[in-house]
Order: sequence, then structure tokens, then C-alpha cells
Amino acid sequence: MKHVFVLAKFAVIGALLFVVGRLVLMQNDAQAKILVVHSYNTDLAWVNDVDDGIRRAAGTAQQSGGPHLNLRTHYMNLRNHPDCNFYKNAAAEVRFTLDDWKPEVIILVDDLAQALVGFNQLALHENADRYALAQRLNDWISGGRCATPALDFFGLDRPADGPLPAVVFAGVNGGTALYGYEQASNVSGIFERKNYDALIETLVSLERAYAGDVAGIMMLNDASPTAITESENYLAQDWGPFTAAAPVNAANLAQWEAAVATANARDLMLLIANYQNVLDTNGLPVPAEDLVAWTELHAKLPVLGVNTRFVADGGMMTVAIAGSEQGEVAMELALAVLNGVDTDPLREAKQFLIGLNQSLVRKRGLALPAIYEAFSREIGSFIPVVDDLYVVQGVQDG
Amino acid sequence: MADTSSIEIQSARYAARDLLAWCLVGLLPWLLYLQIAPELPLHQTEFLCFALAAIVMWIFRLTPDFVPGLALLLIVVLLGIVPREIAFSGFYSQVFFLIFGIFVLAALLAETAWLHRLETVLVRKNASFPMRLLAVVAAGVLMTLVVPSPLGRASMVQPLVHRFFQNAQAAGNSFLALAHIHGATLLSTIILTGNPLNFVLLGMLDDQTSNRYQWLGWLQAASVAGLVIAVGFAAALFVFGAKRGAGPRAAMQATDTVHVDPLRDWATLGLYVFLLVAILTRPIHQVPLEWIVLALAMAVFFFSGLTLAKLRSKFDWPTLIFVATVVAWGPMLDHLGLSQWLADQMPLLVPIFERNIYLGFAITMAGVFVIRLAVPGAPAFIILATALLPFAQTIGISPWVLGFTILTVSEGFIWPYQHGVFSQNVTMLDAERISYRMSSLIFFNVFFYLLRCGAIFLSIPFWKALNLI
Repeated sequence: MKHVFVLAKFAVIGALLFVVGRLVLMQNDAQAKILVVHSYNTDLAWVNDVDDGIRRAAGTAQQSGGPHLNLRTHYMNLRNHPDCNFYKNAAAEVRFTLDDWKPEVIILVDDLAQALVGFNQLALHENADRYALAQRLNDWISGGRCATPALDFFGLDRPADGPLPAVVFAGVNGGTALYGYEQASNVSGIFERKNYDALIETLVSLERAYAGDVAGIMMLNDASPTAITESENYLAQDWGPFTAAAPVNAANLAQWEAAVATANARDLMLLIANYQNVLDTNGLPVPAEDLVAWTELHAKLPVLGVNTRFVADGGMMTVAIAGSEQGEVAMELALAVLNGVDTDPLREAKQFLIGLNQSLVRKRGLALPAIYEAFSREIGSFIPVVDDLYVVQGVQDG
Repeated sequence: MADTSSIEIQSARYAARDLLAWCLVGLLPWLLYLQIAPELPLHQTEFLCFALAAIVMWIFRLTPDFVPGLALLLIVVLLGIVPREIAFSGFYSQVFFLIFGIFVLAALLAETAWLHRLETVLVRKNASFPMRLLAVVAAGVLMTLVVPSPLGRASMVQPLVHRFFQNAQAAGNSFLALAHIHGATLLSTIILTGNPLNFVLLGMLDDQTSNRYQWLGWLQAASVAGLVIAVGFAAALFVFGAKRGAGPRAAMQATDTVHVDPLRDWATLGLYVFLLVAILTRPIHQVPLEWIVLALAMAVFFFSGLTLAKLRSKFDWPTLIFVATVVAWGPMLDHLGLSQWLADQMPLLVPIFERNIYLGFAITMAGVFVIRLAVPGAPAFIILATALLPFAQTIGISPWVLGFTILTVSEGFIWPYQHGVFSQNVTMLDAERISYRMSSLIFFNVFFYLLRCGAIFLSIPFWKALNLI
């Protein structure tokens, strides 16, 4: 008799466990999986801003009864390791996660992730020449880093198999033709194209505030693939009333110093967007703070940054695209895919940030419109006057 | 009388050694402080000094292993060096629940009579020497899948081996002992659930990397090393061992009667089959391994598989706490910005790895060997992993590969003092006056040590193909 009761008890427990297990599996099944892949790592303020935007949009969607989300974030950390072998391994790691976890949507942030991860996940049109696209992309990724490897090196030779996720891009500076996105049906996203009107307005204010002659502007960047795209966009833009001199992509410190000297000699205001991959004589990247501080110290005309961190890195002023908007819109596009909502798949950045370092403005004796200070104070990117202006280490003075 | 005095001298020696060790716990961190204080901010300096004190305590085994780990967390939280959420993150990490669950399952397994059944069959059939060797090895290896403690596995297989020992057969006994010791330890790093330190390594990786090394992912990446070790092990034992053990077979005595509960035995087996199926179908159900294991552990209690008294005696709480305390080392170093600093302390290794990766691995393994001469396995792994894992990214190697290499080599041993399983076995053999040849044991330990190193070298092309290097 006792055995019967024991067995019956076990049967009841077994049934309860079965019900709970089924509940878990059903809910797991109903979850929408979104993988966010950042090209860089959290040591870059931009990445955290984008993540903030993504979280905000996801939170809003959850509150308004959207699908239950399972969000994972992967940081490829490519900025800190600009070499082909690392790119290859980082891309393989993301692909492993994609195969294993099979997300419905992938949000790819910044250009390198589009090339290394996005391209393989595309549902390309029938008439698209995948091989030619892969060749071009292979050249672009390896450009300046290593001799162009075989197509299978970065894993671009074969597309992902199985059901493809929807691809949402963010932080893309130029066009998306290079990544084959224009010939694919599963892509949406937001561009990070600079707000040129705001840049020109700010340049005009700087020109007015500056006592000397301004002959034009010149873009100066490092020689990373993203920066080269940036320079191409600069060339394509009408900068009137300014004359735009040819941009410089400096691979090393000597080239950077020469470009600053040229700008000084020709009375050009510098526009700087990317500067994390300028190498010193030992082949190591010059710390961003040192490079920006050196540039501020040696540039004759005011320098305008086009990057979220420029002022935090020691620059005087910056007009940048807001990372949080990129993340927020990317998440909204991802949710639109999951909910099957028809929406404009390609968006432009509308929100921008201003950063200002008051000490450097005063040092140059500039009187800027008060609105710049008010706005940068509001968003917490204003640096008030400090006593110690430059602490430059590692870069040779002059 | 002479015995008493020699025991007294011995205990006085131990007391003196302890005194000296405790002095070093104070002295070495102080010297380190003088050395690095001008270079690093206060909190970073303090952390490194306290960490060194914990390491010295581990090296001299002054307290149970979990005590220095816990003491370090306590002091860094008290001094506000690291926030509490980071310092104690090991206690709610994936690894903590994984080990908890696996330990419960292992405690249940220890209650079953499967090994006793195997023993009965072998005795009944009066199995040949190679068969007995095979049984001992198979038991050890199978246990590697499910019991995450080499010492625990060795103790579970112990009664089986014990029955096979025969007096005046020193060669045969030596090989049985070898099969027992290495069967329980050789593959411990190949399978995630084979060694508590594997979980420490898993916990030291960041989330996005550790997802890749869940049970099957770990096995895949370690497969070539596992294959090399397994083939080398089998060849060594059966080529040398089977011949030497051949001799007149003494009939074994019938085994003692053991309380057998068939329902529990089969239910335990069923749980493990369930676990295996859950691991293999993870892409479908997407439930993380730690939750599956924890759910199975809960099921054990729902079905009255373990009583509270058994749990108290069979569950390895100290190891669980130890792992939870050391898992937070990585996040703490990251929080303090010390990972990069540590990586920068080894500028010589970078060009070596860049020029010749095999040489880089050889130097790493040699370093592990030297450190293991003086330092026990767990602290040796923690010291090396803490120092070297941040450096892995700099040289373009997956941190897992470097961690696995350190782990596999540091789990190797030559002399009894280097590994618990070996020293326990030797003590047992001596105590029971069973004849064996120490020289054979040492010789094969050296061979297996080299086998581990060879397995790492042969895995390098495979890791390259997996894009881990």
C-alpha cells in the first residue's frame, strides 16, 4: 500500500515538473531574440550611448506590451586590435553565437560589424553578384592592415545557412552599397551621416569669432577604413561658404603632425572625426588624449571635432551625432521587423550633440554664441575653465 | 619513546613552517607595496598586496582553500576597493549554480551502487588483468563526465581498484594504481564538468566568450587534446601494462554486500540521460546549462533522492565557496583597470608569441611546470590565469585557449605532493602494505606530463582552424 502512495506522489511531482518545464519552453519559444553586435567595446563612450538608446527603446516597447525580448550584446572590440587576424577571430566568434543562438534580428553597430558580420547574413536579390561584393569587401577590410587575404579568411566566401535574421544597421557613415545592403531584402537601419548643416553653422560661428584669416577647412583623420569612408563623405559634401581642402588620412604621427603644419600654413580650420588609430614610431596607437591635446596646442586656427568623445579627449569643441538616437532607432526598426510593421527602413540621424571646453575657448580668445555653452551644459558635455590646460605625454612637442 | 619524540620533532617542524609562512603572508605583500606603490594608485596597490597575501596563504595551505579567497573579498569590500556587487559576483554567477547543481547530482551518484555492480560482475567472471585495467580506466573516465572533482572520482573508484591489488605483483599493482590515478585525472580538463577549475576558467571569461564554451562547445574546442591524451594513455597502459600484469591470476574474494536500491540507481542514470539530451538539444530549447543542471538538482530533492544528512556529508561546500570567491578575480581586476597593467608586465612574451606561436606555448607550459613545483594546482591556476588571460587578447589568442593550456598542464603532476589523487593513492598503498614500484609511477607520470604538453601542441592547428588563434 505504501508503495502505491509513494509512486502516486512521484507521478504527481513528475506531472507538476512537466507542466512547469513546458511553460518555460513555451515562453522561451515566444521570446524574440535580438543580438546587438558592436564593432567596438565599452571603453568607447559612443558604444555606451548606443547601448543606452537600445535599452531605452526596448524598455518602452516592453511597457507598451510588445513581444517579450531576449537581448544579448556582443562587443567585437576591433578598435583596440586593428589587425586582420583579430578581425577574423572576432568575426568567427560572432558567427558561432549566431549559429548557436539563432536570433531573429541582429543589430550591427558601426561599419566594421556590417562588413564582417552583416554581409554573410544578407538575403541577396537573385541578380546580385555575391562574389564581386565579397571581393570588394575583402579588399576594404584588409586595406592598410594586411595584404588582401583569400576570400575565406574573413569568412566572406560563403553565406550563412539556415533561416537568415533581419539585419538592422546603425552607425554607418557613408552608404551601404559596399556591404551589399542595397541588393538585399532583409536590411533596415539608421545612418550616422554627419549633420552637415549644423557643422557648417558652427564653422561659420568659429570663423566669425576667430580674429585671423580663414582660407577654408580641411578634414584630418586616421587611416582606418571608417575614417577613409568619412573622408570620402567629406569630399562629396558642399561646404559652402567654405572652400574644402583635400582631406588627409594620417596613418602615423609624422603624417598627422605634417597635416597640422599644412593647415596652419594655409590658414585652414581642421575638422577631426577619427583619431584612435594613429601609430607612433613603435607602431602603437598614440593615446587619443595625447593626440588631441597636441593638436589643440599646435593648430593655429580653431579645431572642430566631429566625434562624441572629442571634447572629453581634450578638444575645444565638437558637433557629433548622438549615439543614443542610433541605438533607439535601431531598436525601433528591430521591433518593427518582429511585429511585422511596415515602416521606412532607412533613417537618417536627426539628433546631434555639442561639446565645449571653456578653457580652450578662452585661450583662443573666441566669443561664441551663448547657445553653444547652454546646450552643452544641458547635455553634460561642457567642461568649465580649469587651471591645468595640457598634460601631454608620449607625443613629442613640436 | 623514540616514536613520540620523532612525532614531536615533526610537529615542531610543522609549527615552525607555519610560523614562517604566516610571516611571509605579511612580509611579501609589504615588499610588493614598496615596489609598486609609486607606480599605481592606492586602491590598485592595496588590491594587489592583499591578493598576494591570499596567494601565499594558498601556497602554504595555511587554511582551507576557500578562506583566503573569502578573506580577500571581505577586505576589498571593507576598504571600498571594489563594490560589493563585483566582489561577490561569483556567488550569483552562472558558474555558481552550475557547480551547485553538478555537485548535487554527483552526491546522488555517490549513493548509487553502479560501481559495486561492476565489481560484482568482474569478480564473478574472474576478469583478466587487461580487463581489470580497462574497468578501472573506464570507471575513472566515465566519472569524469559526471563528477566534477578528480579526488571525488578517485575515491569512488577506490574500492574497485582495491579489490584488484594482489600481493607480490608489484608491476601489476603499479599499473592498476596508474590506471586509477590517471583515469580519474587525465581527461579532467577535456570535459567541462570534469574539474572545479574548469568552472573557474569559464567564470573568468566574459559573457560573450563563455557562451561559446558551454558543455559541447568546451568539448569541441578540447577534442583534439582529448583524443591525443586518450590514445596516448590507452597505448601506454595496454602496451606496457597488460604484459607486466600477466601472471597467475589469483581468484578474488566475493564482494561485501552493499545496500542496493535499484529504483535510485536507475533514476540517477535517467537524470544523467536527461542531462545529456538537454545538452545536445540546447539549440532547440535555448535553456542555459546552469538552469538545466539546477532544475535537475531540484528534481533530486523533489523525488527524495538525497536526504539532508547525506547532502551535508557528500556535498563539497568548501569547493563551491572557493570557486565562487575566485571567479570574481577577473571582474575585480577589470574594475580596477589592473588587467591591462598585468598584461603590460609581460612585454617579452608578446614578440615571442608573434614570431613563433609554438615557442610561446612552450614557454608558457614551462612556466606552468616551474610554478607547479612549488604551488598547488588551484592557486597555481589562479595566479597564472589572472596574470595571463588579459594578455591573451593582446596576442590574438582566445583567452579560453590560454586558460585551457594552463589548466591542462597545471593539472599534470610527477611527484606525489603535486596532486591530491596521487598522494592519497601512495598513502593508501603504503598504509595497506601493497607492493608497488614508485619508479614506474614516476616514469609514467613524466610520460603523461609530456603527453599533456604534446596534446596542446597538436591542438594548435585545430584551434587555428576554429579561429581561436
